[in-house]
Amino acid sequence: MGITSLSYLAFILLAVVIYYIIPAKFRWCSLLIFNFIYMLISGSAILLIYPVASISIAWLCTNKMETCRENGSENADKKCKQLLWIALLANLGVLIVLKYLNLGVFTYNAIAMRVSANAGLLNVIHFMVPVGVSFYTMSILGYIYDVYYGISKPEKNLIKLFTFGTYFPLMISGPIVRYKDLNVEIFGANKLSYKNITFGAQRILIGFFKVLVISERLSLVVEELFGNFQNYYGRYTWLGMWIFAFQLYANFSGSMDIVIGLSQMLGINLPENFRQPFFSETVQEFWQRWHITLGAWLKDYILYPVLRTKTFMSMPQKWKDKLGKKKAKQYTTFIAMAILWFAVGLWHGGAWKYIWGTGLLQCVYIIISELCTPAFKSMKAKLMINEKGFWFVQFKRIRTFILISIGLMFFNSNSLTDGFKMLGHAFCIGRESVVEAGFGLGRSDWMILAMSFALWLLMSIINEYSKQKDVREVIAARNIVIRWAIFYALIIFIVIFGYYGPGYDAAQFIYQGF
Amino acid sequence: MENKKNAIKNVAKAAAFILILLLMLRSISYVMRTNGDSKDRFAGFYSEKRNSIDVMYFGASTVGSSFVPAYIWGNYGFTSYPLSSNSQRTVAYKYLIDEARKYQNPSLVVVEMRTFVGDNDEMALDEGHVRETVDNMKYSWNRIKTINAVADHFDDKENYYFDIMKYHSNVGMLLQKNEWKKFNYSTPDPLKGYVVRNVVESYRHKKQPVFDEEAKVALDVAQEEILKDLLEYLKANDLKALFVVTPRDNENDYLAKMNYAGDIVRAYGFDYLDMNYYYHEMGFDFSTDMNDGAHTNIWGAVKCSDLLGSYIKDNYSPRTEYDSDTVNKWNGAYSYFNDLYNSTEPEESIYTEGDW
Repeated sequence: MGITSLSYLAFILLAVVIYYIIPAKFRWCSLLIFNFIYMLISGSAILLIYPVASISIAWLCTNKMETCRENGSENADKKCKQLLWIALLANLGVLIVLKYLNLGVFTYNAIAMRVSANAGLLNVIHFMVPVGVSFYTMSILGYIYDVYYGISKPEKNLIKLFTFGTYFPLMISGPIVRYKDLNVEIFGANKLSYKNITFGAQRILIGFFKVLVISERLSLVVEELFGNFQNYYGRYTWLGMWIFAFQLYANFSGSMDIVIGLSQMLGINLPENFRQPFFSETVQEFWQRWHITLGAWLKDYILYPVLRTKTFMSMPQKWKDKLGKKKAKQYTTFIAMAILWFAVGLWHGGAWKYIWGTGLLQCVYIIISELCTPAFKSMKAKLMINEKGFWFVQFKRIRTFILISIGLMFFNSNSLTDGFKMLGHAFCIGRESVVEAGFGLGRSDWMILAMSFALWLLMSIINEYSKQKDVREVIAARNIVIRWAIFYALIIFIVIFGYYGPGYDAAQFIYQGF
Repeated sequence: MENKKNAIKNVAKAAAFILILLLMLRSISYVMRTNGDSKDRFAGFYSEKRNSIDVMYFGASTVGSSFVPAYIWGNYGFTSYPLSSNSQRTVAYKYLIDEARKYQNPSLVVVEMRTFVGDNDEMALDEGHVRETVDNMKYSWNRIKTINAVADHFDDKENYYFDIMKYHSNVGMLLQKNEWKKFNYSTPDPLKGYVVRNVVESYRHKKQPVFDEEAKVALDVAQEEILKDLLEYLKANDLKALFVVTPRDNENDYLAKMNYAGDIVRAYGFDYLDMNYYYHEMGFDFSTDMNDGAHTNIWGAVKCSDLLGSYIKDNYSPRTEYDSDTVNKWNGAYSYFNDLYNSTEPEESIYTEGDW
């Protein structure tokens, strides 16, 4: 059931209607039922065993932690730590086996083949993976951590924890939520509100526009330029990278709009996952605006805990004499960042192309940027460049976009090797390219894309710079005729120019399965 | 909700928004459906004045090419209209008859038998013709029932229920003024559903075909069941019906299957008119009156219409009284057809194997 399919639309409509038919106090129960129905439709009954086991273990361990603390036994801390490890290992173990075991297999095989032509290779293991395994595992891991560190109280009701852990709108594409934020939203007896319903529906509409009109249409170009990258060089390769960056953003942020909009209709406010990332002036800023909840989660549950470990705490002291205090601290942070970015890359998929493209390469950018900051500062001063000047800001945005698009190119290539080959092609300037006319799209498609990009840019500018910070608020301030005309026009635009239905082989949601 | 008054206001606003949206989507969907004879014919049917059509035809492409409603009106004095489409699925007939009865009160239903000789399972997988059968109907509960019956072999039924999902890429339709006129799927068809064919297919029929009234070959099992179901339906609804076979090549036991079907139809007490046995009386010449092996041209159509018109007039006493508006419109259609008939020039065609 794709997020832009008619069946998903029907499913969410039914979910919203039933949700509000039920008395407010018990509305969350309908969510639980829909969560299970969704998981059953998206996979099979047997796959339910994974979330049921993960969440049950988390529930048992966190409640046991609470009991230990309440009893005030001497070794309560030790017991809590043991329980933390049991819960973490059980949840992470499932995730690692289901998603990352084959990374080990591939890596071993690649090394073995280089060492000896006759080396015995390992077989790839195929698992049936439950929908949203990464998303629910991370939410539950966060919950376990929060209970351990006393940030959240453990949930006494196992059924409620299931409802949180398997909240169906999050299962396809996130965002990654924290129990302490979402439990109030889910279990708070939400009341029917006209604004929530209309604003939620409008957000869903914007999501459909991004996914169906832009992302699905661009997918043909991406397929051509990435699938046949051997035939393209120079500007065409760059074009492929940039178009993929836009496609991924339209796809991912559009899906997020649908998820956040649906939740808003249910009276549940989810955290934003994107904030106009292509307006970023630096790579760091980009990652604060792109997949925000993943970044926040990894910082809270990986970066900071790593920096708090004895090893890392002692590093600056050890290196102080050799490097100086400032550098020793900076290098310690770089090592922790490398771990963080490795995790970011790994989260995107069990393959080295992800670990490099969306992980370590980004870390390299940031470290280089940090190290070169003094040099850049003095250069800007000498050249009398106004940092806040319009054109310099645009230059920084374009530079950041280009750097990010290189990383995302690895994400979409067949393998890390192909990614490097494609990057090589990008720098073969002047070499003749074999060009597929229109890169798989007709002239009318390009015209539709031009119109859609203009509309998307306008929405982004409103979201970024308007007082309300939300295009829906700006529209809501207009009179009913203008408001309705805008939404009718947008709906009809999507219905006519969307890439869906028979004849269009709509691509799957790019982030699905993570 | 803030208060009751506000709540009622908001519900009314939401309902109005959705209603207007549905009406807009309905019209856009109609405009974007692929243009062609079937679309014109169905839109023409919906534009006919309620209860002004006395005889309804159902069947495949041969209906639109063999019966000329305007000519029958001019010469036999009753109104008729085809609700036919290319290779129309037989399983859809009873739903299409229901569709016709929603708008008209026909005293006679005429079913052309051509598609009963086909292999039902094969035809069920022919998406183009399945779509032509259902995608020209107005949105209604009956359309959903028809889709459930005819598109049972397809998993993506939602694309049939909401055909805009299929046709939204037909952007070209939005640039055609004629298609915009069909925003309500109700635009008069000047020839009342008839399609002019002016080819004279000359090689194949140098000799008149030979038909054997005694030869019988069973229909496809599924088709026989569908036929019997249709006959039961007609009986249950107390409808008068005439089953007709239009002229065509006697290939692949075609006539023998038609003979077999005729026995079934007669056993249920309905009339069965196989025009292939009347070609002498009709003055039908297979070497000049066929457009191709399967369809009559305009000259053959007039002969078929003469036989059908006189047969209905003699056996079913169709309605003869119509209001002046209907009379004027149908006289106009008759005059338009006559002009067309008199000005149409034959186009020679040399048949080669595999042409149809």
